[in-house]
Amino acid sequence: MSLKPIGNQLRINIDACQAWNAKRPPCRSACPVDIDVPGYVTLISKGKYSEALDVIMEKMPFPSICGRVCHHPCESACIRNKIDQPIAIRDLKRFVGDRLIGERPNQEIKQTKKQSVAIIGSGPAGLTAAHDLALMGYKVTVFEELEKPGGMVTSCIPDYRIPIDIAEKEINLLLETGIKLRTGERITGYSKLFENGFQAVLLAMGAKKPKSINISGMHAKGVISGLSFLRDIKNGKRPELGERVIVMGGGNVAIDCAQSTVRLGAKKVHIICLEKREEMPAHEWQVQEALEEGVMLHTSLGPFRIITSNNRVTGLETIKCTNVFDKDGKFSPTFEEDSLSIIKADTIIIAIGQEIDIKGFEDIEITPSGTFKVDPLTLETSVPGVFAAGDCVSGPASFVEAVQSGHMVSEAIDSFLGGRDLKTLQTRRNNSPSLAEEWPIPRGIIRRKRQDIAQLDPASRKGTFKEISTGYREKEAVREASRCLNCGICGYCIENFGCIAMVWTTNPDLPYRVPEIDLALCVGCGVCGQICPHKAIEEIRDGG
Amino acid sequence: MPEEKYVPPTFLKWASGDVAKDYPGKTFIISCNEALARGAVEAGVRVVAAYPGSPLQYTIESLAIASSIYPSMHVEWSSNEKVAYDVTLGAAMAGMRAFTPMKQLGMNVVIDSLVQGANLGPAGFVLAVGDDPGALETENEMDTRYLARYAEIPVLEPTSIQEVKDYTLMAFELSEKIRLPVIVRITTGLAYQRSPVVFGKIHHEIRERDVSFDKNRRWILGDAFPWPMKPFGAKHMRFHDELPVKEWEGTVGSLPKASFTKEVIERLEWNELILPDRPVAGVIAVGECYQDTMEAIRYLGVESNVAILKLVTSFPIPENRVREVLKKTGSVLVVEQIEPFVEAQVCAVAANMNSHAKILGKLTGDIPVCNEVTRNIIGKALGKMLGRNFLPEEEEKRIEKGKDLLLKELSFISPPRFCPGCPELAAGFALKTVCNELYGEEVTYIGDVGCYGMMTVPPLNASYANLSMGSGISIASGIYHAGSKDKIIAYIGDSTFFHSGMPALVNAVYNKANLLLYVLDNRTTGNTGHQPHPGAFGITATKQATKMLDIEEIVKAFQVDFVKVVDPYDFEETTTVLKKALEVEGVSVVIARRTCALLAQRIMGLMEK
Ligand SMILES: Cc1cc2nc3c(=O)[nH]c(=O)nc-3n(C[C@H](O)[C@H](O)[C@H](O)COP(=O)(O)OP(=O)(O)OC[C@H]3O[C@@H](n4cnc5c(N)ncnc54)[C@H](O)[C@@H]3O)c2cc1C
Ligand SMILES: Cc1ncc(C[n+]2csc(CCOP(=O)(O)OP(=O)(O)O)c2C)c(N)n1
Ligand code: SF4
Repeated sequence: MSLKPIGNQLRINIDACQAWNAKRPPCRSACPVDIDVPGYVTLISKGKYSEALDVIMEKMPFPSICGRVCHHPCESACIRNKIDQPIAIRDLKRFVGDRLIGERPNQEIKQTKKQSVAIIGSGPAGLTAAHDLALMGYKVTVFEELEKPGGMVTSCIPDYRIPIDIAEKEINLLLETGIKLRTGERITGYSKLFENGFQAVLLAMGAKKPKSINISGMHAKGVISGLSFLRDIKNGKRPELGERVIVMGGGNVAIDCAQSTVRLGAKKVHIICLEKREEMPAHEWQVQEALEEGVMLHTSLGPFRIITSNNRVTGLETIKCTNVFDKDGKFSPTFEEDSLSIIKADTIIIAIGQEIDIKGFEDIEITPSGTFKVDPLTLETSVPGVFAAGDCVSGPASFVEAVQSGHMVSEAIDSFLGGRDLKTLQTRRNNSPSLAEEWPIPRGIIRRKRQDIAQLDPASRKGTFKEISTGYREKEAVREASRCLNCGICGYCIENFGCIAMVWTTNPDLPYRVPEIDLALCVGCGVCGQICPHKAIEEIRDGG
Repeated sequence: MPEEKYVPPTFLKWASGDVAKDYPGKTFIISCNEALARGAVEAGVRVVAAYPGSPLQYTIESLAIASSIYPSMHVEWSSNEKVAYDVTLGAAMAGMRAFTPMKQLGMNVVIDSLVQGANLGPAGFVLAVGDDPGALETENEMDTRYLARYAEIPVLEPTSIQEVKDYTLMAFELSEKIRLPVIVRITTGLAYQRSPVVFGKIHHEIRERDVSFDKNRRWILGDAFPWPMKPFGAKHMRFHDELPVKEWEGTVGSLPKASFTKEVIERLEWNELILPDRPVAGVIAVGECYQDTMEAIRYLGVESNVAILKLVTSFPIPENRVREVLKKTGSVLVVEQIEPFVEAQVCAVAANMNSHAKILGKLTGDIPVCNEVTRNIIGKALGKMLGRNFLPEEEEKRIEKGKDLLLKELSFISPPRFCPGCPELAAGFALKTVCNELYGEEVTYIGDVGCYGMMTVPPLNASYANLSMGSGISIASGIYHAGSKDKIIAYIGDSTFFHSGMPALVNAVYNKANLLLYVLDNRTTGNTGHQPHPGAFGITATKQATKMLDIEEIVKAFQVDFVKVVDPYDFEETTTVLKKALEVEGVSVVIARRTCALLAQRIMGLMEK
């Protein structure tokens, strides 16, 4: 029985059909390390967790850490934003990361190359580069000033965000692949390293020098730096703060300081920052958490002087800030005269930003903002063979950007050492991105609320540094993952309409399967042409 | 589309005009459906009515051709099986031979009229029913014979295509003799056979005889009662020989006693008994199973050692012959399709005569109750009874392995799919799209019987249930009245609408249900092979022009406030109208009208018939 047309038969214009498949979907485009988000989310929805983990690990060596601390630009780009709520991409990553943390296979690393690389700093940037270079076959040694590897993740970011045991477990798994780590060793210069036989040096020292301001009372007892405060807590100390605490600063570090303060039992916790609410650099969800916990937020407020008695803090005199940035967006705060007021306090925590500590590396060229200057392509500093990555290049940024920078610099070092052509780096950084606004949305998508993630309620967060979010359980993760529209791989016609004449096929020019209309079956009803979200199905007219 | 040129398609493979050929003594190779038709033609049938259903829909198609040659013969597609039964019953009451073939599910629809109709004592009235062992073409395995027993009317089970023709003819004679409807039971295995059949004489004189509707009788409860005798329960009394027949015999006419029916059946030569002197065992093979049983017996080489009763009348059974078998053998295997219906009767006979013979079959687990009884199954059971292997052991193993493989393969077989270009698929997709957008997961879709039953399977997944014809609307109403907060959708096909959807829709409107009825009007009875119906093309089974009923107008007459017809090939229009319809409180109806894609191609002459 052969079927003949009722109307004109149809065909798929493969260029139009694949125009969107060729692009990275918005979530993936937004991910600094280019994780195949729809890929792993779909795998989770099918219960294929270890395959999902493989997809993540291709680009992100720290799924459990990233699954907790990442600021997830992918979620802001998710197409579901336009329909209901974005997929909980970060927490799905955490789910597979945690679930398989004990059973991740150790990638076998064979040292195939003679050269060795020294890496200064074991933060996410340094460790990522170390891992990549080790996989490429280089001998890698990481030097770390502190006793533990991990940079900010293990030394500062509070346990209620990323528990130390999980971070350590994940970092150790990575180090086990044969990376040499020397802790407790502060490096003060690169020449020695070259003398000791390293062919390349990577500076991944982060930005850990607290910024300071010049107001009276800064040296009184009770004024502490946010970073050292957080580091003490991470080391198990529980500093005495008194009942009233002011945190100065509008970034994530300030919020973390305030939330930690709440956990230590302070009765009244204030945050003051120069920025207006919407200008605050801290992530909105972190601010919300702090507010839930009872932190009092004072925006557009600057410090005027610290009030002391017997060289002990008793309060802070503040002044209204009218503008933080000038017309060009430069930091240049202006204040309203006669707007002084006083907030009482026993402790003042300064968390107004960090800078690079370049001690020992003063001969390397720096940028006006004090970070290492690197060639945008080779990521090399002004000293040949010395590279830099992470916060010490970008200034305080984020975990995932540090990882991204680690990946990029490892390729650059490889190229420096003769492993690859510089041109290949360029293509890597030039992925064809796409924007959520342009992405065509097929019809008939069911609105489904994002699966809730269990959280400690604000009252029971006090007095404990237990994680706020307890993460997805399996069922919830699968349900959440199944909300993904799988934007990268359009198969809308086959997967939703399902006309028997539409079949998957391979195309010699494309790495993935594509839909095709079987002309032996198509009768030309024309319905598929009307429903294709990409308008890629067209009639075959007589003679055409 | 050239709709005006529509000619009802005929499946030449299963139906033909051969059945009308007046060549007594000649042999024709015909199908089971044709054999049924030929039997009826030879019997001089006057009125034939049916509603389509596999495997017997082609009987009507053959008879429709015959009616063009013998114009006094009336052949119709009725709107449902009960209607068809009542039409044919009426013809029988008018003294003409009448015939209604149906699928087993049709029996379920007919049952009310069937039970009461038997009561009237109609003569020359034959039903053919297609049972489906293994549910190869139906949703369930069901055994007509229980319903026959319930209605207290006899069942014949022909064992070959020749017998299908012969016993259909003779069923009319039997019916006239015993004044009861008679059922000819066909099972799927037989239904798709084709074999040489010797044709007999066509009784034109019977077909052309005068109508003899007896107005002296009161056709309420049988003609056995002189008014004012208490008539109720008469049929049941008659069946058990409890009617005080004597008192009024010959006064208004009378119906034969049940014992008379039994006697007639007992005397029938059809139930052949082969009884060797010292049989080692006995076999009772019913209907279709007889062929396979004989092959198995021959394969085992035990023809001369076993008693064989070929059973054509599975209800009531010829008890004397059964008794003979039981007397002479220590064990008897009963072979039949679907339920242990004959087997239970044989057990009862054995118990009454204190026989010690072991009765083997479905009740003892020697033959599985579910799925088709095949030659292998019969052979194995026979072998077991006789203490021998039916097939060499390796062969058995090979078959078992094959079964496993088949099962594995079956698990890869994709679910049934809509034909390419199917308008019902397009309609379903548009609805799903709109519902997804408007209600997300808060929609309950209830299907009905037809091609659109495939809405239940991926990727559409737009139907959660389908039960029996016409039930969708009422199930949906029930879910609404139960308090569901969902948007409620009921589907119905056009043929199903006329079959039994109309009363359900009336009920939904009257009792203020809140639902959208989505009529998938593909202008034909698609699933069973494109038979016409009252709303399609204005054509009858015999290709005569007739009125065409408009579903839209009917629905309006039912006072449904929102009624719209859409073309499902137009996605935009369909979704726009559906959105409006879904907003309506109460019952709203959207009719997605577009000729079935397969039929459209057939009309265009683009496909082989
Ligand atoms: C309190 C806090 C909370 C944060 N929360 C988040 C968050 O929720 N999400 C997010 O994405 N990002 C967050 N960040 C930012 C993020 O942690 C950093 O951007 C990231 O860790 C930078 O990585 P890095 O490898 O460049 O540097 P770092 O992580 O700072 O690591 C640098 C390492 O180098 C070592 N080192 C420095 N100098 C020397 C030397 N001379 N010799 C040897 N070792 C040296 C340091 O001890 C340190 O271990 C947070 C940062 C802080 C401070
Ligand atoms: C009582 C009963 N009679 C007959 C059938 C056989 N049958 C199955 S689907 C179908 C066709 C229904 O036609 P329609 O409602 O027009 O739907 P379509 O198949 O055309 O989509 C029939 C008659 C049945 N399942 N039950
Ligand atoms: S037979 Fe007709 S109605 Fe049924 S699936 Fe095929 S095209 Fe659709």
